Amino acid sequence: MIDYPLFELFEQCQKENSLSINDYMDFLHLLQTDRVNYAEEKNLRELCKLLWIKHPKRYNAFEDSFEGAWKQQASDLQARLASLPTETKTIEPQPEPNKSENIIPKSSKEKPQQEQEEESAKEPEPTPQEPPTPKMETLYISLGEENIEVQDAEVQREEMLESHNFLFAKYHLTPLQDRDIQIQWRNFRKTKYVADEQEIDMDGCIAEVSKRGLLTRLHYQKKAVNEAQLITIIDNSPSMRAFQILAQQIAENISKVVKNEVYYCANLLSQDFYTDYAERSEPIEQKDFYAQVLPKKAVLFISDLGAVKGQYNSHYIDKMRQRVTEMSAIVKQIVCLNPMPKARWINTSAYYMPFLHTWEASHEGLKSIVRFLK
Amino acid sequence: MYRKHLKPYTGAGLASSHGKIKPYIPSESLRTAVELAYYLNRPLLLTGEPGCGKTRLSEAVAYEWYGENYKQYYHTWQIKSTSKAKEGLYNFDNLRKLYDVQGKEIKPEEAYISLGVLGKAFQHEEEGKPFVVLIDEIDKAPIDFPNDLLYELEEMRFQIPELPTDHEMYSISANVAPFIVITSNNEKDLPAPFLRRCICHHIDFPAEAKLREILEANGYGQDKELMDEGLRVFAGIRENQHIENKRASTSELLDWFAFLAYAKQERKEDVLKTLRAFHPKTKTGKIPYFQALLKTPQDIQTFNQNIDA
Repeated sequence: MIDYPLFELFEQCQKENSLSINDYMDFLHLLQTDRVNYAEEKNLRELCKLLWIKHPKRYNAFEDSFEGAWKQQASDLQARLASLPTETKTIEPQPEPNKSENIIPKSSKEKPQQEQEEESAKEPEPTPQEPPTPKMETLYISLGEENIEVQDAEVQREEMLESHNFLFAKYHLTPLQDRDIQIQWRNFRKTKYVADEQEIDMDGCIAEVSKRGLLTRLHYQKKAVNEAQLITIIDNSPSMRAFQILAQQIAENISKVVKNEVYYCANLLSQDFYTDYAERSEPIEQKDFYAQVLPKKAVLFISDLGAVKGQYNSHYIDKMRQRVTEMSAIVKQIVCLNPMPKARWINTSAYYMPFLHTWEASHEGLKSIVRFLK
Repeated sequence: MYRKHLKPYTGAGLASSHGKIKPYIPSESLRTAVELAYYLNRPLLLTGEPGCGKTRLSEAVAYEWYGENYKQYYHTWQIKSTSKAKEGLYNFDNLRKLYDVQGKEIKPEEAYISLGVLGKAFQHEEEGKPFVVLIDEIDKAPIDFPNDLLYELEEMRFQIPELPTDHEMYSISANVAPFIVITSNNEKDLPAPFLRRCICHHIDFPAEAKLREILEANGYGQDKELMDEGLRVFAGIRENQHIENKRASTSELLDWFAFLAYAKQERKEDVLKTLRAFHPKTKTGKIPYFQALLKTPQDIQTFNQNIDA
């Protein structure tokens, strides 16, 4: 029975990078060519990275996985390679006079003598060094109830980026870019062809003239309208003050691509809803809001759900459960976007609200929300 | 599925600055990626900082394979936010046909078809000499663009539905599959099915030794002092630029050195003295011709290079 080399590593990479079995077959095929030497760790690592890793942000995780796999399999890798089917396919170079290079450089023993002499005369190349990360002030971060001191804020942010997949935009104010929001929410549109309404089908008209030489009648097609509608409710309670710019940025960009109405209220438990953040507009009473605004629409609630204060409040959770149940009977769907990172929900009220589908305000979070709402 | 022959890429031919195009010095991993993508018959997707050499690689590959006549085998497709996948395959001029029909001028159907970059590459028939096609900045395109090209990139063929099915141009297949290089600035995530079909390589910013090699290849190696001081200042600038902002890149380094060398030789300016006086850590001193390296108001302020101050 053939023991496939590094298959466990391939399986680890497969899910994150959406690989297919063909990617592993390509790997096996390249191993079977007799002009390459994959006994060297560096060559094998390079090959696996090129074939299986599709985004630079996954390189670090791959390096760790490969090292683990290499340590496990190094001793029997040769045996595994030898056990592969004996049909080998030689990669022949293009028949040109001055080309005779391999895909991966082979070990020094097999290089021509002149090259070996030149190599030994040359000084060893300096190993490439990563540019040093800029040092910033010491920063304390709070994870749940622990305070962790970190030496370098940059290192801390790198770790957060890796662990939470939280993309920081170049503005340093909000974690999302306008374009990102619009691109994700464009997928929320639901096109419906309205039978009663019609518009001229230009392509059909031109096609008829092309075929027959004249236009006998105008061609019509059903009008496509977007029937997806969204209500965005932004929590304007004091704990959300720091996230108002983000919440408004999200709401504005969604409005550019879908039908979206934006309202403000405190904590979703408030009796009144407003159309502006400062609550200067006429308040809409809860019963009117439920009867006239909400029916049959999808609702996006932007709130920290208590994560900012870092506290657990069972009374608040019960009230929210009641309110969400009431709204679920009227609306199509209700979801929540939490601007606090997911790691900060632990041990707070936000963590104990499974009745309300919630995602963090990140690129992945937006994608998941739109997928859920569709 | 796989190519019969390997077309090696060494990068050595362009190491000097005497070629028809600017020197390009690829890293070993990049050379491997090119050869792997060529052999496996898959597009090569390059990512990296702006100015790291993603776009120039395809030209360098074409030059190494075909020499001074490389432009006959090299085509580029600059993607814009309004680009559609079909534009790279073909365009059927409906309006021209409508006009001709009204004027009672009868032309064959293929007269209204113009092939795009990929369409022309697919029609190429010279065995062993595939076209090199660059699809530049694919992340600028609309969200459906990469998915619209999946079938064509996988199967290396496409159809023209405007033509009758028995027309010879209805289905166009690649006789010699082109070598496709795609670049992306990672402004947007590309869909997973598209990434799966590509060989993906990230071009890291080169280390100092590599930067020296690049400068020498571009003809700045003779003035060692200028090179040492210039690289010191450049490294200091990069170290102090925020990782999330636009950082000075290799292409900007070359532009900067071009003007430093010109200023020193032609204008007789003492750029070395100015460079030596700049200290990246304390950000004191002037950076000569900083406009080539510092592109944002924040950077100009960070390094205290305000002109009016």
